[in-house]
Amino acid sequence: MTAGLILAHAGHWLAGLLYLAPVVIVVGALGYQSFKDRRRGDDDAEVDHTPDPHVG
Amino acid sequence: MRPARPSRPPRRARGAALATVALTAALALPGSASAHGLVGKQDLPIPRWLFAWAAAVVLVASFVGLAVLWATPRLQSVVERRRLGIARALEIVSGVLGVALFALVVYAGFAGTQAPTANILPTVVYVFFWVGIPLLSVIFGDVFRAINPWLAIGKAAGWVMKRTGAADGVEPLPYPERLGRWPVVIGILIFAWIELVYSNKDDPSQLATMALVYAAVQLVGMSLYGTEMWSRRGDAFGVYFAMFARISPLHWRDRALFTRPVLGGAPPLTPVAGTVALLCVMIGTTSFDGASQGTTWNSIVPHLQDFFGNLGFNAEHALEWAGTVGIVVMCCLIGLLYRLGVLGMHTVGRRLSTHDLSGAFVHTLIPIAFAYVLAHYFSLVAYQGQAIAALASDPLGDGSNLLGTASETINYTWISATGIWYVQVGALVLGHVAGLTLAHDRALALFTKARDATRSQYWMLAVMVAFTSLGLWLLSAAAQQ
Repeated sequence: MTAGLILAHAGHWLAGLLYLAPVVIVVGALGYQSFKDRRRGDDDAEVDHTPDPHVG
Repeated sequence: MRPARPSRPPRRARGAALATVALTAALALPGSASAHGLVGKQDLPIPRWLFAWAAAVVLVASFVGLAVLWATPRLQSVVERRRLGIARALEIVSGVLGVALFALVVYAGFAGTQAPTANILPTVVYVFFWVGIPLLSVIFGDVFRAINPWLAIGKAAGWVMKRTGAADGVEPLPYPERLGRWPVVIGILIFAWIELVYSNKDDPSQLATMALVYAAVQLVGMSLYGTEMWSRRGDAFGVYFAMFARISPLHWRDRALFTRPVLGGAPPLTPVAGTVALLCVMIGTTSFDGASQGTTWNSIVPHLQDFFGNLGFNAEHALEWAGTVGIVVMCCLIGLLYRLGVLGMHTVGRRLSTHDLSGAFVHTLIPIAFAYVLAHYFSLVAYQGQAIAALASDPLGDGSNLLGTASETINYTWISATGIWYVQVGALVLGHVAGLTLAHDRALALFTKARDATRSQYWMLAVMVAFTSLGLWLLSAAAQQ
């Protein structure tokens, strides 16, 4: 049923891909940048502490 | 919280960032397109999907701008300035007003006509209460707390018990830490289900009954755990509206009005149990509202309806089950996207667990939740909100004309469909830029180096772009219906 359902409404899904494209591009660019950062070997950052227990 | 060491950005980088921001802002603005607006039909100069691309460019440019120009945390601990005091009498009057309004609309629900558009209750609940108060909260602060009817009754009951000595020796139960904001999550989910899925959502007498049941549950909660504690943790609507008020420049507390920077109230949010779920539900339910009006969802619904019909449900209940699946899936999708953004922060260190990071950044979802509310419901308030003029004059729908405005009609021409689209796009873009700003500011406070703070937010940027594209896709699909 699922495969048929997806194929039957391919037009709707394909139009939606235009909205997905910026996400894919940004994810790709950020992934590449992360890879470059890691290759540079400077991923030695340290987290200082946990957030303050704020009132609220 | 020790701030990251400030570092002055290089001049060339700052110049490039400013140029990028200016260029992308120019690309994203509608320009002369607004003059093309036609009432009832959107007349856009570019395809709708291109707005998603422009929005993504604005977000990326904002991210670069923040990385270059915002080098120290500025919102983690803001200074609030006291502007004016509030007399106790005013507090009492506003509480009485809230109770009176609540009594009036509940009475109208029971005693008035059962035609949803002629009875004041459905419009008050779905337009003014559910959408109007969040809008007011972002502008004027937590105004609902002043008129919260069940809180006013709870406070009055507490005062009477104190004066008569009935409360002597009786202490409220300690609020269970594990309960956190989970009562709010459940309450908001139930209300959203009623609004978006329940087939009798407009029935005035049923709405009035549900309002009374909700008020009764709140009074029980306040009697068990104390008025103050329950109103800040368990009152679904009170907490929901207060969440939006956190991004307001106005803060009402200690019988005084304070001003603070916009967004300054969000970072102090305590991420108690259920807080992440609450924000995901706030965004997820609104997203489902948009999705339910689009072609994609409406092409899936018949299949789901068949599935539940085959399980033995009648057509009405099968449709409700399909909607229930849709709401749950959408809330889970939003939760998953946020989780991915948080998991990405581990690329610069693993000192904090995913759970801790999830709580530390949850406040960044508040402006996004508001952006979704404004984008999805602006047209409802803009048009249906005008119906209050006639309904206030004839709240029961029995032909009375108490204020002389019973014959007022809705003006559909004051803003065009194109204008509404620009408001929606603007709300989504600004809301996500605000979310990015809050995330960047929190990252600066958590990570030693500003550069690591920026790197930690790569995946949060991707999540923000995904939220924006999702929002615009949902709005676009609804506009094409």
